[in-house]
Amino acid sequence: MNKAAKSYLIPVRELLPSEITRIRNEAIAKVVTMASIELKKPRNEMVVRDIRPYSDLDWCTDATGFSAALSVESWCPTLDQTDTYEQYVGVVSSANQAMEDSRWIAITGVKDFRLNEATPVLQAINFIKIEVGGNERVIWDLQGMESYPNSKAAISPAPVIIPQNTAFNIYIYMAGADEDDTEFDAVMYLVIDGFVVEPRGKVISP
Amino acid sequence: MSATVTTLTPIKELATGQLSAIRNSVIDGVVRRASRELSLPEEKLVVREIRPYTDLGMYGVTTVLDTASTADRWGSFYHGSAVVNAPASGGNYVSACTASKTIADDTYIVVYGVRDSRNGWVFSSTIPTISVTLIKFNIGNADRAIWDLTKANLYYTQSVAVSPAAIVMPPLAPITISLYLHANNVEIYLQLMGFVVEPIGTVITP
Repeated sequence: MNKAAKSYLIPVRELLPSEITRIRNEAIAKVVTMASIELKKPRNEMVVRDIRPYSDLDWCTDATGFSAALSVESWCPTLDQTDTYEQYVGVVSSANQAMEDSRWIAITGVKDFRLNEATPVLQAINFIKIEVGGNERVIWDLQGMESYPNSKAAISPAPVIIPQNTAFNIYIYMAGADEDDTEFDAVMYLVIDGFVVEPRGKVISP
Repeated sequence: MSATVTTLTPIKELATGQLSAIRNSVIDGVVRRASRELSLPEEKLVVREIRPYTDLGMYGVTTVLDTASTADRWGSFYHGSAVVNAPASGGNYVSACTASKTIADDTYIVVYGVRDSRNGWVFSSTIPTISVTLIKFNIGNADRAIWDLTKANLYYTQSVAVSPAAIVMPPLAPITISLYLHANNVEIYLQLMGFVVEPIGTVITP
């Protein structure tokens, strides 16, 4: 395997189950080790848990591009239907944009849960860009999942790690949902897949 | 086997693990070539997603669309007539990328397959019929491959196909990617599978 940085996304249907498991387990091991060293705590004092969209990632706390900013634990905002297509829009409020102390988040991929809706809708987002520490770490193309109607999930061989106290933002690229590109009429149904690593007791105590 | 095999194979007809093997082999080959030709160690390179318009000029033309798109979007994605041009007659190749398109300096783009995104519409009653049967890649003024896109159409939930002979577009190469429209009323739901290899920092810094 070459030594170049890998920043792409692969639909899970194009991977072996063992590859998905390996990517996930390697990411967990890497981030737990990183947190353990930096916090000078043994690994068994760390906990790996699911990401809370609002409390951990400030997901869609910036109202730009949305009908209203979110302040609840939900991945699903309603997009602005007027003028925000064909550009990247940041989803994290400028009041936040820094990872909390003693917390690491690894983003391993994305999931699209439109098909769980009673009335499935269009996915309005084509690309996602993640900025960490002032650098654009990845630009992921979400459209590869469209060919797999019953498995709309994708994973990256090189997860994005947001370390403690580090500035970050997540940008979504809205290409315009309407046929004539004149208006935006879709909702975003995107789950950021990954995990949080932090000391036991900070949020949960398993 | 000494002949160059450029055929497209639906992923449902590949052995388990073969898709990953092709992908990893393609990436390895292009990273090695970029490292050698740019005189950079592999660690200084990044493998990222292709941006359809920004990197390839895809759909920035009125030969396929009524209005040339400047959005990074693989085709229309959205069923309707307004965005899609009805060509004067079917039975022709038309260019799908901007005229006189050349690959950016120090950038390598490799394409190793196609995905048909219409199945993202599996829940809809308006799944369009495909109107593109062949795709032709002209790189450096030579036709490198002609792929038959209809091969994968019978695999409804995985309409994806790859080629073991990837198409590499080197820096500054002139490119034309042409679609064969077999009829009028074009609906483009086609994504190219591939990667960009370039020095870290050109676009992203993982």
